[in-house]
Amino acid sequence: MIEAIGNVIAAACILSIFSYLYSENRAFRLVEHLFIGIAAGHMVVMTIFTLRSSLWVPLSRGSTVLVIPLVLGLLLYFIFSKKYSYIYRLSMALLIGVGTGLSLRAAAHANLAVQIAATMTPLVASPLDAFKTFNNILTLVMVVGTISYFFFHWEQRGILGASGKIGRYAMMIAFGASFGNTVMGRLAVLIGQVDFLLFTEGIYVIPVALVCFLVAAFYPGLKSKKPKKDRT
Amino acid sequence: MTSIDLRRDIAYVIVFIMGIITTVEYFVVSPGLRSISADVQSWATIVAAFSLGVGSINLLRIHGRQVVKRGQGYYNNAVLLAGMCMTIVVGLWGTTSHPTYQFIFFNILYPSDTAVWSLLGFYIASAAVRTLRIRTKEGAVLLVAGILTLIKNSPTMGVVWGGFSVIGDWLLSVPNSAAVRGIMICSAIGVLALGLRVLLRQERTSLGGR
Amino acid sequence: MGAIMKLRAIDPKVVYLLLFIVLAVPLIRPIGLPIEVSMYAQRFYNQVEALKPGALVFYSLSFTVAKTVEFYPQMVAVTQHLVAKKARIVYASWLVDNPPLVEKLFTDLSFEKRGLKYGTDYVHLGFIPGVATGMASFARDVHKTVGADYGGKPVGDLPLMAEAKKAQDFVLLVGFLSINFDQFVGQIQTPYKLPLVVGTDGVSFAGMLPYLSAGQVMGILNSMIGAAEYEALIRVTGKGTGYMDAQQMSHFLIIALVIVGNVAMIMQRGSRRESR
Repeated sequence: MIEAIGNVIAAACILSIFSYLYSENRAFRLVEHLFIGIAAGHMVVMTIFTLRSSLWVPLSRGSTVLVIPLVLGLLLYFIFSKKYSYIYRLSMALLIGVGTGLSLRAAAHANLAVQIAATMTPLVASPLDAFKTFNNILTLVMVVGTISYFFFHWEQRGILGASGKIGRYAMMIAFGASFGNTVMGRLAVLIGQVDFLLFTEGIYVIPVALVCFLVAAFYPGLKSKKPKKDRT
Repeated sequence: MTSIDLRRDIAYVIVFIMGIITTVEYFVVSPGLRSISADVQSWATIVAAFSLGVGSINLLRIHGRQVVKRGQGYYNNAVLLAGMCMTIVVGLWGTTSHPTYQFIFFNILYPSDTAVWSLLGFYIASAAVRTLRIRTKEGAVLLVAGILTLIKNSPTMGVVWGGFSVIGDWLLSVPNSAAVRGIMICSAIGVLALGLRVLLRQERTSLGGR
Repeated sequence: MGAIMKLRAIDPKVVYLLLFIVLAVPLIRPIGLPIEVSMYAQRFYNQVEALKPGALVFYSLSFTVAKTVEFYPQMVAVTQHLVAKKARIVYASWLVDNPPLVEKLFTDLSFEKRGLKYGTDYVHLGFIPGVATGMASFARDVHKTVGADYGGKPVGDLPLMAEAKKAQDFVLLVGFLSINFDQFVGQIQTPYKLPLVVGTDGVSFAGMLPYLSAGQVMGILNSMIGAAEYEALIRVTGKGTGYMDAQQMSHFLIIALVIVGNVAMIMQRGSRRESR
């Protein structure tokens, strides 16, 4: 019974969001604000539980050094004070410093060194394979071409221009592949929603939603007063 | 030096020290440095948890102000705050494994958030017939690559003609990987440059400077 | 010819309805279109299949709740395989959205009924904040980063966690990562050279392939199709398989619409040239 009620509520939320496809309306904005509120509340709950597990439990078991991050964490909230807001910078400095250090080493190792090493494969495949050799050469040419595309310091002419052009076409292929996969991903999410609407108690909400849609279509006064945007 | 500069200077010194400790310990074998770095990283994790609360308080302030002022559409703001408070009360009273919390999470938050994402599926279909045009050579390459990827992700087409899978796999593993790798290398160089600028106080906006 | 020109100027709402119908029909009446296993899913499967009983696996999540439809079928299939291989699993999340999904996984797969004991066979550490900072700290020292599990029990009291103190203690990393996968590779996989297999969504898949060819990632599951492929490999029927007909039909619709739109554009250009 509870599950059925839950499915009906979920279907009502889904169809309210889908109503945006026709035009922006009050039902859409109500559900939008509701789920943002719940998401924010969920974040607060998870933050409290995380602090319990990573701070409170070890602190209560004798790790007194954790008083330092406790104080630094509380200092963050001085951002809301007009007079003492500069105090939050001490905590932000820790986060920025550590984050910067971590990103420097990850970029240098995982994204630069390893990727360059992976590109420097033998051009002629061993054992001899014409297709693999072609692929190795093409990979090197396209990687160098893509990198040279981002040389904005010099004018893209001559060899640099040709190389940049190869890089541009390589990136178009990559963006196309990304586009194809993105389309697939988005449709997958939509399929999940359609499946839910058709095969749970949510199907009973569809006729109710249709009635509401028809009423809204024939009584324009019920629509949101915000100006329409081009949504294609 | 004014007191404002001193406050900012102390913060930048902390940024520099923390950044250097975290970076150097990765490349230099020093047990003492590793121990300090491990402590600093675990502290940063805890401070990061506190920072999540800052956003929530900001949300309360902005929407609370709208409700108090009875601004336009204030009832939406009231609904947001009510949802937030309800979730916090239920979560702290019964934990996130409680049936009531699970009800809120899986019957309101999850379907609504997913529905917003799935709207793009409809817009993609609409854009496919109205907007996705082959106007330039680069556009043609992009669109053809996209179509081939969609075909590769339809296993039926691979059964109809095996060449579709072969072409799709080759497209993803050679030109796509090469281009993404090139972009990755360039962005890694950018990250290194930006990181050094932040550590050397050349990037003043990182701590509220101008 | 006129029909194609009219289709190009079609009202978007008609296209939305058409898409809904194309998705709904195969769900109501499955067609049974074939599924071909890709090399990416096969490599993922091979890594899990090679695990010895009792192997310690780190299983982490990083995706927004909106992408659950793409990831959850993958999670179910992979977890079934890991449980069948008698792996001992440590679960964690890098985003606040994910811990309730892990709890749902335990319920849906009936962990207790399967005889899996919490604390010995699996542990749920919950959300670890800080993204890159949290990942680096976790990899360096698990117990220092996470003092207690998701239920608040100190990790020192959990038998499984006595063996999971740092990243190198794990035999395999299993990640269901959308955002933050490059930080995961940079902070955990590459520094400690650990084998990593990844389930991802459609948006991130193409961007992960350089990691695959560089040997940083050993196998990838791509969205719903990846889930269907994995279900075919472990010989179960799940949501991934059930959605594939609708997925493929929607692809055909998009391809048809793109072709129609471009043919109409070419025809319109041709008729403009003729009229000059």
